[in-house]
Amino acid sequence: MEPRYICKDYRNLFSHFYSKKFVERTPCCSRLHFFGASDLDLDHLLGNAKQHSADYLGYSVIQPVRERCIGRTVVDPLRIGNSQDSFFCLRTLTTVHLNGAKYEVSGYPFFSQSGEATVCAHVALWGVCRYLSDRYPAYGEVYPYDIIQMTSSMSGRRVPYRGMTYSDYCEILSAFGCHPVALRMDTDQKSWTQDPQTFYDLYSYVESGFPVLASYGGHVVTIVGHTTQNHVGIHSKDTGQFYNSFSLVKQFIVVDDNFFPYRLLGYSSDPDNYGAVYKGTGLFTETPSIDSITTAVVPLPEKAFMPPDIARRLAYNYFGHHSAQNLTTGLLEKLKIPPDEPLIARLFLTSGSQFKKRKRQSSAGGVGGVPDRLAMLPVDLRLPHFIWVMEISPLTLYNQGLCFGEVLLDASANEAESEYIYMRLGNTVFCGGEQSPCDDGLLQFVQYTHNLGERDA
Amino acid sequence: MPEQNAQQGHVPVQEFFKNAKPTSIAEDVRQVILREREKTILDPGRARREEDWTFLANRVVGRENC
Repeated sequence: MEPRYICKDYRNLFSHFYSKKFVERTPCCSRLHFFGASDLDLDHLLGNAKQHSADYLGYSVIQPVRERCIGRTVVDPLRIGNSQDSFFCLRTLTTVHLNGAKYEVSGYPFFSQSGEATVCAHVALWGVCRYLSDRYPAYGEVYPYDIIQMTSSMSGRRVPYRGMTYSDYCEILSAFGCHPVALRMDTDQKSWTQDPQTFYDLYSYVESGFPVLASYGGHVVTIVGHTTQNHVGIHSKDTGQFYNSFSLVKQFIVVDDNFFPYRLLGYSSDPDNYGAVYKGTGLFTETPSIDSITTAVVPLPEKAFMPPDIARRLAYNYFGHHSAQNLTTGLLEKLKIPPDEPLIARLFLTSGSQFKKRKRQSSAGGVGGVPDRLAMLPVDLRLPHFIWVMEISPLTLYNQGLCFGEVLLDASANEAESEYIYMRLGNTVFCGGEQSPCDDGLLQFVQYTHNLGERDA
Repeated sequence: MPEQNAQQGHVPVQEFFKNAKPTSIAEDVRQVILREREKTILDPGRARREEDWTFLANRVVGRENC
């Protein structure tokens, strides 16, 4: 334990709120550091940080408040028993200085609501803003009371406690510098299948690596990733040809400030759904689950104008074109994949520069040690700041992290003016009004990974 | 840099598409999308004609051609 720790987030709340109360309290906190090893010697930990860096799990600030005292907390989800193969979660690197010793932890920032100065929406918004500002220099750092001050006073005073709505979240995220989009699920909270297209939109944003504020109707949590399964389960096809890769999502990973971070939000029928702990509390009409999500707010960058449903429709049409379908049939034969195997379509938004960076890496790595010559083609292209990418793979390839088709769309285009920037099906590449095969090009290539799936963050 | 590219078997885009065949995928899909859009875009003239204006019966709400 690190006593008398000065936490910038608690100090901010102390200056603007706790110091105005009659009951005196210290402006200092304590900080707990967690290590995944036993028989640790403090002097050795402080003097040999590099040696113990792999054991460092994260930290948690303990605030001097009577209830809900957990302050800023960052714990690496991949060092606390979650599988590297099926647990895909947003993380950002935080440097920790412990009496001069330097440790690092990758995780999603967590803070619990005090119930007095802050409510669930404040701490969820704080997590989104801190994640973005830690990861991207374009965003400035904000503190808990900044978020309280950004809350509109149209519905009355901001502290203590006032419930917030998704319009408040949009206003705060806009003031922070994002361009949020709000999704409203047209369901009775019993089944996501009543409005699959909106859930596909939500999932596309999660798959793109955006933290998504999701409301169960009365409580907001942040979706920071998902776990996967290797079969499509009970899902049906999104189009006549493809299953949306949402079919392979087992649970969403959520940060709910009432619980330790990285809870697993499953479907209402999932026995492992963490939301079942709310059953019988009377807090919700329906037990929290993926099915019970009512609204979602996503902090998008400005130039992501094209919504996911348009990108999805365009991409499905490109892959559904008869000449693309002929190539797909040929690819399945060459790769000896049964024609009835589910074809998975994965849609995500990313930046042109990140896409090029990953393509450059996969060009050298290739598949099974064979370099992918075609991976460098999009690197030579002029790409917009943000692009929608749809990858298609038969299920067996998808489960190996591979795909055999991809199409890139300009995320700043509208539906009428959009045209694919580049499309690849096996070893055939389409660009502009031309297509060209590469006889010695790989038929399959690695899926794109980014801040949600990267393991080298 | 050219040496490094050659080592990785990199083919520049211009060279790759030197013997390319024309394709109409983009144009065909654009036509499909535009046709779908036409179905959903509201025709203001038709909407005005088909609107129920009976609530204005016997009420003077203004004069045209003034």
